[in-house]
Amino acid sequence: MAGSITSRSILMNQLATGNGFLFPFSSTGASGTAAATASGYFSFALCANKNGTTYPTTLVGLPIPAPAKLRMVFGTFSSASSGRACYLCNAYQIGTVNLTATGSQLTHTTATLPMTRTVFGQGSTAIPLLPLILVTTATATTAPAFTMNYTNQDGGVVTGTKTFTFPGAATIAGSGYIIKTEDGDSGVQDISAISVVTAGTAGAATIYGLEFYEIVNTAFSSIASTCDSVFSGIGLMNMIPSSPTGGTITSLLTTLEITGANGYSGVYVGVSDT
Amino acid sequence: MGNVLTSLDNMLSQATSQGLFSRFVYQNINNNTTNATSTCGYTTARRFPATITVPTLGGSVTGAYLVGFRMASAQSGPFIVGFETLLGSLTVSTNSFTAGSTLPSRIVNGTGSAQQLASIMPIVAIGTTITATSPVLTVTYTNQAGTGARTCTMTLPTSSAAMSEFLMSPHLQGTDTGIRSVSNISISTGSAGVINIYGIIPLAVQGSVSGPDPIPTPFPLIELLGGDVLSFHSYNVIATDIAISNIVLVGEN
Repeated sequence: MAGSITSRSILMNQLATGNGFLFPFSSTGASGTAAATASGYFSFALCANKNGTTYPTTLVGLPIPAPAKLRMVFGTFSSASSGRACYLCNAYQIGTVNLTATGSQLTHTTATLPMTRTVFGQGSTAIPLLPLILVTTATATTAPAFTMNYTNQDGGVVTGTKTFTFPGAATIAGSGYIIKTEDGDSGVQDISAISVVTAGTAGAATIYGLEFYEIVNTAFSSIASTCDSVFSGIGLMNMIPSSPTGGTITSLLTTLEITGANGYSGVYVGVSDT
Repeated sequence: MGNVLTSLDNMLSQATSQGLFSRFVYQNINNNTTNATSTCGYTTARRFPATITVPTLGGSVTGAYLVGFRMASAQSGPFIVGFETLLGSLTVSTNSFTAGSTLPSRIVNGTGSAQQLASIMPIVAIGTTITATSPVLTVTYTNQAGTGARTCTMTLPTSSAAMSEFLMSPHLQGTDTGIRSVSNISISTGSAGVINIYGIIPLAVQGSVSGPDPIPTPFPLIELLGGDVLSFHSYNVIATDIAISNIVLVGEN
């Protein structure tokens, strides 16, 4: 059906006539080393598709079909971890980092950022991402530390002054943390450099930029919580990944878990809006 | 013309005057099922063998709508109940296809004329355990827009067990999101088993086994008729299971 979603009735008709997506999912995360003050306070687990994912190097994203627009309308999530916030988000691989040498150690994706999508009718609008670093090779001997240079949410070029320090000399693979930005910044459009100021004798990581679709709190262990993107506050995010300014980028639909790594199971539903 | 959906009061009035249809069904999965992979649905799933058939609608009742669903299981959720259409079957040993039905046209949300339904949750269901090593299954179908000769290709796990279910939606051709009908099924190898393709119209979801979950289920209300089959599905578990499911239908006149 052509045209935009202009009523709940149209939305329901789309689902009934096959113009939508319903997917029961299960995600899993890797237990990591607990964060400390200098590593963002909170640990994060990037939870990818349970079947096929082997942390930390083989992550299979949750599937979505590929119409031009797929509005998220509903999701239900449950977790073995109680009291956890669950975020359904797209993770774009910005680059990889070598933590065994000082200096500029970011290998940036070949894609040109920022990521863009249509916002308020304006096409190709740069979108801000939350930077997450996922340890892929455990560190050793010394807790590595780095600063980050980036383009902020408004397109401003920033030379970072805040030092991120991994929580342990032996921070295990699978550990995930949000990288601190400067005071007043809320996200990054791109990362230009990771300057390692303290290196370990081992360690590597991948940096992802996160674009959020929905946030659900799981209040009690194994009891599902829901988000209704139609009536519980306007959501209707377009679940189709945003596009890099140039080239191609690795993109994964995932769930993000704070201070836990049990992953989630549930159902997400989207409606085609083309 | 029915008035079930015009207000909650009307629905209650219909429930009290026509009587509700409430059915409990005991279901048993007595063998381990098979995990999915990223080439066959991503999420582990299974279809409970016991279904509920909507009875012949009597008196002045012209249609029925699902208004209640609960499922209690020994395993975890989520659980989905759906209106099921058998789209086609495959006998693996002879690689022979048996045609099923096209999804029907039905009134959606009680308004307007009947619309051609298409399933956003088509599934490969293992009817009897198949004997095949990493078989490639090819399903030829008509998509949600009515375009035929579309193909869905999936590599199934070796010797998938009965009652295993594999989600087709991630593997539909191009930008397809739904299926109306199936015109052929073929498999690359195999010596035994039966595979069924069902088009599921999801009607309700229960998020976890510990329900009742306060889950609103914003799925379209599909008019159900006598003879329609409702099937039950669970996810993320392969262990044996027992479950008791309850559905409630309200009639419309």
